Amino acid sequence: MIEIRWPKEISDAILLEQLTWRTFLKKNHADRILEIRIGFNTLSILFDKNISITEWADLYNVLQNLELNQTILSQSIWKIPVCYGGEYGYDLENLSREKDISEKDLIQLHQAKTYRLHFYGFLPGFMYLGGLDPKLESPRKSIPDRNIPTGSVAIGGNQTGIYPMESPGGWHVIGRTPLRLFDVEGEEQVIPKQGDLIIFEEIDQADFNRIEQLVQHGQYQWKNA
Amino acid sequence: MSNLFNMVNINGKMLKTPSYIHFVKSAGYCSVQDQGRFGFADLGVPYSGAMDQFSYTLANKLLRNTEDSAVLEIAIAGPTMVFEMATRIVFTGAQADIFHNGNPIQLGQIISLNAEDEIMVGKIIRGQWLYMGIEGGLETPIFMESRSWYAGISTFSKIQKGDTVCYLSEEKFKGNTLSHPKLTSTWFEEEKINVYKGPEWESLPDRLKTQILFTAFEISRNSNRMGIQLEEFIPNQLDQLLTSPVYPGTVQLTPAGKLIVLMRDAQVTGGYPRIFQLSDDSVNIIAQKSFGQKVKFSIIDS
Repeated sequence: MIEIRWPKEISDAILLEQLTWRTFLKKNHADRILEIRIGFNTLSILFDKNISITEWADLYNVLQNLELNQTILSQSIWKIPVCYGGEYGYDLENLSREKDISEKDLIQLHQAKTYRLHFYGFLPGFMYLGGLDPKLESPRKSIPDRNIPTGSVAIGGNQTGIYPMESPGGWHVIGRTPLRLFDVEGEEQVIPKQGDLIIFEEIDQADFNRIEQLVQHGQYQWKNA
Repeated sequence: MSNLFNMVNINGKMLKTPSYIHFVKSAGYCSVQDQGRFGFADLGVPYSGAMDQFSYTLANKLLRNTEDSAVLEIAIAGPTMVFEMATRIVFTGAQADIFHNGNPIQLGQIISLNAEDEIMVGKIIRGQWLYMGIEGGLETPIFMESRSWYAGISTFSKIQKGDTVCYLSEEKFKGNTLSHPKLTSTWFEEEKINVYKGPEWESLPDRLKTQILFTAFEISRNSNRMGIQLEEFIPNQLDQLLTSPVYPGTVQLTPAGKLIVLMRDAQVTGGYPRIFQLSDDSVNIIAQKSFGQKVKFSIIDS
């Protein structure tokens, strides 16, 4: 196993290089690579057997000289409807008080950004998104919640994300989406792909109920912005 | 007992008959596992699969099954099961008292079962995970290319009393039931756990490296299919990571000073420094360690 590490930051530039390298490795070395995984600033390659230092040095040299093609970073923007606050976003009030930002402004700040989907991890269908407004950064809870409901939209550290299934977790829950983030029986388990963009769009309870019905009947079409 | 399926004869070929294992008493933690679910880490899906892949593979080899056949994995204590129709089974891995229609049976012994036979598995006495292989493998539904149970992916996560699990019954057996290897569980008594240096190993001060390599770590009660936590504290000042890949066998060092050995159901990414990566064999060995047993890490040069 080999791990490549970039500087400790969340950036499109790193993701562009990661996706370029991964595409190249999958295309040219599929026979000897079992799996490639991506973190914010890491790329790990699981080889079918140990790779020698010299072999790796040669391969690494090739990777570093690959031409970067901006088009590999997707321009697809997916809209995720969110009903903020209240029963769904049960931490919104607290967070608003702690940060001294009104609930309305906090929702506005969360909606104003376009987020980059760097990779899935933590749970099946959990998106690691880059791009949270620094004003919304907020340390994780010292005691995690036992059961964060499916669809909860939350903020933890310098990230925001959506719980695709019920799970314990330490993030601050600010709302909920009626969308299904992971469909084990679907032709494709997830809709947004690594490298795609995400925006959040505020909806009210009536919209939430309506969309939830559509999702349950398999009639909801994800929307592009 | 229901017996809805009878032998089917198509084009003169005798087909195997779908039959069910009825769990008349459940106990401990019991699930269906196979080699695991690979190729979906990009979607955040863990591998899962048998905790001790060595014993899992052995069970299938003894029955001449295909290598990815699904087995029953049992922890803590076993269930009581009734088999609708004839088949062959074998137990490997942890040690427990096991009875076939009241008669004790051994690990590694291939047992020919007749319709309505009962298997009773008692408490696990030594080791952690006991495997019951069955001829042809268990025929539970496949979720994302694997039969391994994992909450959130498979519809099921744990066997409950009253559950039934499908297998394909066959009257004739292609293997040999007369001889069987004398299986022991001594191989997992090994205290030495072989590891490769993890990505953050070199960021540890020498003093901590020495301390970690000379400590006999005790397996804590806080251990499950996701990970095994170790008791001893290693106070450290390591920086947290931006979320990075982790695998079964990755050893994380938490800011609170605890070592966690990630296991088969571990999430695919994590933020704690990764100080070691266990060798494949060592993942199987540590899987079988019980609460209170000790392990020592030994770095292998790659």
